[in-house]
Amino acid sequence: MDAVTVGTGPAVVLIASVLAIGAYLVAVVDRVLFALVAGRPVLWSVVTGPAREAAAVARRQPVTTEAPDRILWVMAPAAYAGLAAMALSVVPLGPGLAVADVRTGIVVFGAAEALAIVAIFLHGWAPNSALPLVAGYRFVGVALSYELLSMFVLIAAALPAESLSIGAIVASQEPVWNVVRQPLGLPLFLIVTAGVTFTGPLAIVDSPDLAGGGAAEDSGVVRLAWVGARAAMLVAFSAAAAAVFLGGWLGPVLPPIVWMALKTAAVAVTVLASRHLLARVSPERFVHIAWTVLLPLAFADLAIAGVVSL
Amino acid sequence: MAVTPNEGERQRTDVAVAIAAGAGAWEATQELRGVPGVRVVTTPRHAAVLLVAGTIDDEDREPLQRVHDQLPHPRAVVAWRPAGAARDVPAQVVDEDLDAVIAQVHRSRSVVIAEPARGARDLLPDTEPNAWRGVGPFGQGGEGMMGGTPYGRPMTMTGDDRDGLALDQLDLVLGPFLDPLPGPVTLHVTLQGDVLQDAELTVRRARDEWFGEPADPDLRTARRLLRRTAHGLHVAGLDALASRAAALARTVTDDADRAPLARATAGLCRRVRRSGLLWTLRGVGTIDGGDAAQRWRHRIATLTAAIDGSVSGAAPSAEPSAVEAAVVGMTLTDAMATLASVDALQPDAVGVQT
Repeated sequence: MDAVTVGTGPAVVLIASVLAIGAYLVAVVDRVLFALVAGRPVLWSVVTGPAREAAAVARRQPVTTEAPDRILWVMAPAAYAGLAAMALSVVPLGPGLAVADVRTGIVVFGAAEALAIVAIFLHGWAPNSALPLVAGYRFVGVALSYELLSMFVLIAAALPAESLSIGAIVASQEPVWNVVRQPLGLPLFLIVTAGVTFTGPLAIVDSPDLAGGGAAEDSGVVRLAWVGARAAMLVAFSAAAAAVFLGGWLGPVLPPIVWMALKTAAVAVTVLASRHLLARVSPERFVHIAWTVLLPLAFADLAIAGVVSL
Repeated sequence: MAVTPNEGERQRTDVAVAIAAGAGAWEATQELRGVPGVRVVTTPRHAAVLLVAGTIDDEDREPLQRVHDQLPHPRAVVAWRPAGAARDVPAQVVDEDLDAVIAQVHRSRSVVIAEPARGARDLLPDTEPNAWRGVGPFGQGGEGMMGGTPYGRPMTMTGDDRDGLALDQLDLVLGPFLDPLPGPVTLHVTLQGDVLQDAELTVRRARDEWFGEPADPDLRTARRLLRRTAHGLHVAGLDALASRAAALARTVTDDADRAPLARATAGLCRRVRRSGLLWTLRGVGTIDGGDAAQRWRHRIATLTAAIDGSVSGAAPSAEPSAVEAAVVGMTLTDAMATLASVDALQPDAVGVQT
């Protein structure tokens, strides 16, 4: 049955606040990890740093280029953030606490993930500039390779639940979490998360090898919107990973929503740590690995889940 | 408001800095990656302050002006160069060591934030670089959708690519002040998708002696390699490790205690090996029989030996023609990784003054 458990007004507030607070925390954690890896002291300024930097970026002029696609340039971050909200809307944050814990939750989530590719490409296309464009289309060349992994591991997680609803998938993990039952699922989904947020080894969009790539021409509030949307997408995917593989809100003693927050944070920290500890893989090499190693692993994950569910 | 930030304020407010450096100064500017409170950005669009370092060649004057105008308003410009060096763009000049540069960067930014009207103005007119002159035989639009040079830029035409498709060939000039390139080099490429069909590399000659270099030749080598390492790690997406390498470079001085230096260097090299960087570069950019991973290994080994004071001979510098041959057929990302793995590039013979 379809369960829409939160009204429209509260839903907007819930999604917006989870994404906004989450995105800010992502920026804070990123600074902490940077300092640790760089061998600098972690100061209290990591907490206020993102706000200061956001204010500084917003005060600068949003530069325009020669003959840009202005509408898409503004719409791309909006679409990307909107897709993060769409992805999060089908993820229950506690028992019965979801905007739309629909029977087809996995399908809705997958749709948001696939459409994110379009938003990322258009963000590179919009400024009418060579390096952002190259970043955009090389990303599209890689995207299918990680998208496929995502579908297989999510369907495998849905098998024991006998439902595509993410709430039902969480409930099905009462005896044992999917991370134990389907050990290949979470690592593969982390790769998907790195891909859709173009972070860590898959930081192939706004990357320094293309002098900023898709974001090379962004400045001022346009830049701020894109950076914020990226962080929001990481929050949405970390929440989904926590729900689908780590038992979501399940856990002893603490309130369910606290468990969900802790597990979401753990996934986000793992992805952010990969950004500072692992070198970028070249897009070509990743596609090769994805089709020869990762995709067979995703098949195996689905096969194991199928056999166990018989 | 205070225009001289104290240490505490420096820690709190990051300044986004874009670097445009001449060949003599480029390596030294990489140490900014290790400075808390300064964030070296990868595109001028993200910068609040432009740092122009060293002597800029005459032919790079116009590209410098273009980079200058690419910074969003309000912008500040700081020039780091020895007293008496040629002027290029209006700027606050610093002719001391990096600490003075850092202080000036913070000061200049504070000034333009307090008074945006004092920000640096555009140097070039905001117009089409080449006017549209209609269809015809003299460098303008072709027939229909094909050919010609609309607005003075050649229309991309199709050519066969490696996958048996016919894709547009895009001519592009990268550099001389592009952050992923190692120093003021210009890479003129013909791209199909993100694959280089053709490449021409132009390398500038160093015209400056730089501030605060160690007198000891081994330590000088170590500091140089740490700066190159910082840049190479940055290009690989490892900015935190890049910052660690750059901060370490700043501690390599003649009176430094060698034991802690050796320990810190060993720790850095361990993290570089664990990052998978060498694995990602296997088989990439083979020049003179060695790929980028081997060059990184050699770089790490030489660095370790230099700190120990047992390095022998200068690093061999790669011929631009050998690099060009290596990068043709590569994706742009592999080409950039290849360039960032080279410790020294031979400058062009053009304009050598004996």
